[in-house]
Amino acid sequence: MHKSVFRRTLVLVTVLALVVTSFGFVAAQDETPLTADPNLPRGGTVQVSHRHASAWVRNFNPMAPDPINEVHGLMYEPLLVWNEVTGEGLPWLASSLEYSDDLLTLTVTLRQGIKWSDGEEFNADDVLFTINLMKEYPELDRAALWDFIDSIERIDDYTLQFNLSRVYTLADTLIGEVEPVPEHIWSEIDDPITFTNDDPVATGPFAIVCRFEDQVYELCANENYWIEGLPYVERLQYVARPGNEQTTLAIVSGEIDWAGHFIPDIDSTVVAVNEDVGYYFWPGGGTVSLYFQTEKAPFSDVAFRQAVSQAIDYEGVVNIGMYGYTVPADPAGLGVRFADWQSEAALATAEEMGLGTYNPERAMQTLDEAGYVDADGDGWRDMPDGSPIAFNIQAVSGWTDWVASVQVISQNLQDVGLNAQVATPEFGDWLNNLQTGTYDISIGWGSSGRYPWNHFRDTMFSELIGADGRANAVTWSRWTSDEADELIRAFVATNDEAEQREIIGQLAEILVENVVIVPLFPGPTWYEYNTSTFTGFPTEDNYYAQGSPWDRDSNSRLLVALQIHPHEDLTGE
Amino acid sequence: MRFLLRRLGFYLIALLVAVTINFLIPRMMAGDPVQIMFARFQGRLSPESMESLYQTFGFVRGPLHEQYAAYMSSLLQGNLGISVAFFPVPVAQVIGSALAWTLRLVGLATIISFTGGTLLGVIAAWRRGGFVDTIVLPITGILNSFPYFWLAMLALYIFALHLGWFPLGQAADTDLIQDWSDPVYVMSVIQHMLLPAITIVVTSVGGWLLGMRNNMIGVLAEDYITLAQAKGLPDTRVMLTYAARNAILPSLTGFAMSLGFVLGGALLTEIVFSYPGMGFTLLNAVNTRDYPLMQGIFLIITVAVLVANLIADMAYVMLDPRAR
Repeated sequence: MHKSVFRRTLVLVTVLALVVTSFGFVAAQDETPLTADPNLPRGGTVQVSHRHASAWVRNFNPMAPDPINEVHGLMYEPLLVWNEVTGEGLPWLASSLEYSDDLLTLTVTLRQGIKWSDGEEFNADDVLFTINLMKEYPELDRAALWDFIDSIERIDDYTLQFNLSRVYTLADTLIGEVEPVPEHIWSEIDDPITFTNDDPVATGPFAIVCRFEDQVYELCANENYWIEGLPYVERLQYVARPGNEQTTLAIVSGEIDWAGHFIPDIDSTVVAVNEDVGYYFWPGGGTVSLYFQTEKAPFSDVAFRQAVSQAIDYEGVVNIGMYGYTVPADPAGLGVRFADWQSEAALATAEEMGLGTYNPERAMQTLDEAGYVDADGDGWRDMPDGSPIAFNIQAVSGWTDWVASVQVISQNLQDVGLNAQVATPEFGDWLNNLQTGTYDISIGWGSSGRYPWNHFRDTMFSELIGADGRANAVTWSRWTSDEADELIRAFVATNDEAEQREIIGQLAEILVENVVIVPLFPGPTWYEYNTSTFTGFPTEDNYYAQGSPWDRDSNSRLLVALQIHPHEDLTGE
Repeated sequence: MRFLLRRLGFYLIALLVAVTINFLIPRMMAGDPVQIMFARFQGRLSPESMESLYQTFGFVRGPLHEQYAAYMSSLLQGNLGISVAFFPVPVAQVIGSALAWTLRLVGLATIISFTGGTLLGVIAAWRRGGFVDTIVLPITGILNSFPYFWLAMLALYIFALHLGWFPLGQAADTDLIQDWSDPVYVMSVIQHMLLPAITIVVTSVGGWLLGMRNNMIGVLAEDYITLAQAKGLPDTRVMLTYAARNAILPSLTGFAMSLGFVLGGALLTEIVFSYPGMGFTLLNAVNTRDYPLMQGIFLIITVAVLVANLIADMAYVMLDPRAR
């Protein structure tokens, strides 16, 4: 409806050309990553909702494990903004991050003219201070930077040189994620770990906490923001609502402008009632998959896992379980984001093995050939030695989309003669079962990171299975191999894209031919917007950044917060 | 006095046992707070962060006896520790505001429900077959057995969404600045409290009513009631000071218990009406295996139940000399 207005806006907002070299990230010097259009209307309060809570707890420490979510990006900005949708790193507080030829030093150049919200100037001392703080307090080193940083040299006010202890080609993206804190404030703090940072001083566009109460907080535009003329809107308001019913009701009634909530059957429950509401559930999340306890029979048998993959009605899972909000996954689980990393060889193997395609006859044939037949005549298939097979597929209690998906799958498996039941433990139990290997088959999320490497590393890297036997990240299938380990290590030791693609292709083939997991669908990201007062939101046709206002690992919502603006001027209202 | 001291000693031991159980229960649940913290990001947090998380949350790991010693010693210093889910915010701060809202809403609703239900129970028993006995009693009985969530949602849809008599949710108008000296804000708080409070009262009053009515009927059959009436005492005096005073004793224990449990919050009320409070805070603590926060909430509930019982004991003694 407001599409034409929106299009025009976007043409005016110049997103500067960005050069991604194989040696790091470089932006055109002295140009800001976005520029403001002085003709656009300004002001207004955007109502945002992304988290269920009954009361807010004041915690704006960007280094805390889970503070008020807006500290990331909207308050404390990263050196590099990662746009998951385009797969590009946008130099932000830094203007470039460049490797030396031997990949052992990384030179970070900062933008000039950036100010903290209290008017002090931002420079290399702040970045140096922040990263050194992580060395002094390993509790704050969330990305384990000091595993590969050896030392940091301050070249001048705007240049730092990182000397790396080993070649680690994720260093630029990981250092790029650092959100610097102001040295002139934080150096006075006794304990940065237990600091709740009630009134933050930051560089971001919404760095000012102008109101914080039990059930509502407001973030106000930073008048010292370094991109002149941005942000357009005056404030963001967050009202606490603990339940799904209340958030859905508020979205339907138009109280919320920008949201990130799962809403069942949104077309008829919301969009049909309020035509100002739009949504786009971009399927760019990690790939939701079935995991097997491969240390137990029959799940230890590749043929059995292959048969499971052949028996599943993927379209049914997506349409019934997920309300059609996503699409069936590819057999390697690379997902929509990394579709161009797909390996032809892995796809061919998958096709030959019949993976990822609904074919119950073939599944029954696979089971028959592997000796899983009904020996005792009870209607269910048994082990080749005649002992009965009965197992559970677990999903998290109350996660209705996953539970419905698993119900479809258990029906599919029953249709081919497997006695599969659904179990729905509570979240903590579900997780503990996966990590300690006390389950049979389980649905679970997939890892999402900067590169497809994260998916394979987090799924089958042996180092992620702890000495105590706990399967960390998503190594829940407990399937590892020396070959995969080596490839995983090799990826981060090279910066050559052709070589990296080759490695990803081989990893995909290993994952596919061993049926380590059964990828079901790429995870949708929940995002709704209301165009009655504001415009400039990403839409399905123009998805310029990830739309969800809840964001942890990509800060691309910063690009959205900077570009939304009212239809008409609301300054001072 | 000796009675009181004996009771105090008993409560002290009960407190000690309860505090230990409060420590053990969260740790008996499967799952680890650090792993759950990591998992809450659903694959969006890199496994590299595990190491730093384990270092941050060293205080909820370590051998059980060390954790217990640390817990007891900080309790003695009046320190509830630091929350895991809201790290590094202290537990006392997380509980603080929720507690105040719960006390106001659920506390008030419980008192109204108990007082109203008991009075109605007295009347129902006094005028058997009267209006209260034949009409009010069955209606409140039915409401009492309705699923609360369903009834509250229905009330929200009818009275807030369609009729617009009440606000849709929150503890106060979010456009108003939280300022207790501002009468407009206070009015808004009262207005937002009405519908949730009414749903709590309506669904709980039946229990008090029925209990009191049955006690009253038992007492009314006693000889001293007949005697009092024979002496020509006024009906209200016989009803209240002779019958009700004795009949209320069992209800009082129940009331003390429920006053204590007020502090557990009213989870469903909070969810339906987006009301801040202890119920959702506790649910959150359980879901995230936030041991310190769970311990803190359990401790407050335990202390409240014990104190309420102590007060009930004393009230018992005052009302019934035989108990001395």
